Order: sequence, then structure tokens, then C-alpha cells
Amino acid sequence: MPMNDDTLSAFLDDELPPSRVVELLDSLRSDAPQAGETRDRLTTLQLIKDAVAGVEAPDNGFSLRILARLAARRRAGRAS
Amino acid sequence: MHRSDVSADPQPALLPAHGTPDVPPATADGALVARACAGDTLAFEVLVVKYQRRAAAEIRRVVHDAAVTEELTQDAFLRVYDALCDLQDRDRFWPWLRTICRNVASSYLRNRQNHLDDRPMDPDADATVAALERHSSHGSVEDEVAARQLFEALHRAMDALPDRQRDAILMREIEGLDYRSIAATMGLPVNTVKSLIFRGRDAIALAVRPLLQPTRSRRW
Repeated sequence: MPMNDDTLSAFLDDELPPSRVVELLDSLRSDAPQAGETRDRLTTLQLIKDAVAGVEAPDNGFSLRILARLAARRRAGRAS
Repeated sequence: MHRSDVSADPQPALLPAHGTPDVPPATADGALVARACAGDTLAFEVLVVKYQRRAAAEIRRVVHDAAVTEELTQDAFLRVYDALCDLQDRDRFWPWLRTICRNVASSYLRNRQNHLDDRPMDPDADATVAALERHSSHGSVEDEVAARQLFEALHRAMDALPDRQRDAILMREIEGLDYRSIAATMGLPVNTVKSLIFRGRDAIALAVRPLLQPTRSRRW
């Protein structure tokens, strides 16, 4: 079940009660493959929030490169 | 984050970490940290997505270089990942991450200076320099033009918002006020403030979404 944008917006403002984090994660997990609707809305709202605060940076793979290094670290941790 | 590091655990328990009190989190960030420590990798991804720009901005303030900033931001998140479960106050994730970013950036500058002084370098810093050499070009001219168009459109959309929506957003982002404080300042109920901020952002999102579409596959 996709999460409402007002709830995503409140999460990014640190105004979402911790008890609703499970709902947020479930919504992200249920994103359709490729479409990633909740992820798209979350990242768009975060980009807007950061830009208004003065941090203007498009995400041209920046997050994915961080996550790729983290995944490599996890794999290395399991192998050792 | 070496504790019970499994990739697919949809309903992990909130396990106490090393020496960390088993106190229920008071914030959503605290809840994400707790779940990440219990092996929920998606929870950590959300923290990365939420804070990657602010983390990079902290580092860039020190090193003043885009390619170095990206490499060091990755280094900072790796350090965070490794130490996450030792974080004592999980609700203070961002102040902790910010400190790590500043330390990573300062350490880089010190190592670079040591290198210039021909003194032995930290092996991690050597790896960073090598990685930077692999990233000799950083972003095409087309990407830079697209980014400029995106942020111009975003600020135009912000300027076009009704006054109350714009004011509420500015109080949140520029003054750093929480919803309760904004509500008190504007003389409105908290839920109205929440709605004003959301509707303002939604209107901006509508304006910029077409410009974001071409890079969708490069985003999370």
C-alpha cells in the first residue's frame, strides 16, 4: 500500500512517530519493481527539501554509489 | 554493522546493540537505526537517502572539491554503517553522522598535507586518492545544464506558492522550526501546518517531476 505524500513529507521533517516507521518500510518494500513509486516520491520530496535549505544537488547516481559500496562491504563481511 | 546482518528480515525485533540501552526510540530516525541494527538493510538505505546531501555538504565545506566530496561521503557512510550499533543515542543519528563527516574530511586534509610533506600516509587515504584518480571527470556538461534547469524550476515553483505555504516551508527549512513552533508562530493548528508544508512541496514536485524523469534510473 503506497504511503501518502503528507506522511512521507512529515517523515522527512522528523515529525513521523517512530511507531509508523514499519509502515514506511513496508510501503517501500511493496514498491513495484522498476517503478519504485514510493521511492520516487520520497527522493523527490527530499531533493526539494534540501534545495530549499540551500543544498542543491541532483542525485545522478550519488545514493546508488554509496549503497553499492555498502553492499560490497556487507558481502565482504559475510565472506570473512 | 556486524550484528545479525541479514538482508531480508521484514519484521526484525528491536534488538539491543552492544552496550546500548533497550529504550524505545523517540524519533523515526531512532526507529530506523534500531531496525538497521537488527539487520534491516532497507532501514539503513532510507537513512542514506535522507542524509546523503547534508552529509556531502558538510564534507564539501571542508574540502571544497566535488570529486573528493563524493568519495569521502561514501567513506563516511561506511564508517557509520560499521559503528551504527554502537551509537548510544539512536535518536541523534544526524548529529552523529555530521561529526563523522567532519572527522573524515579533516582526516583527509591532514593526510593530504602529510603526503605533501612527504611523510607516511594513512593507507585508507591512499585508497581514497587512487579512487579519486579513477573519477577524473565528474558529471557531463549536459548533467550540469540539466541540474541548473531543475533548480531554477524548483525555485520558480517555490516563489509561485501561496504565501502561507511558502512561509511554512521557509520556517521549516531555513529557520529549522518544528511543526509545533511553526504552528505557534503562524497561529494555526499543527495539522494545518503539516498540510501547508506538504501541499507546497507537492506543488513544487509537480513542477520539477518532468525534469527528474530522465535521471530516474540513476536514483534510488
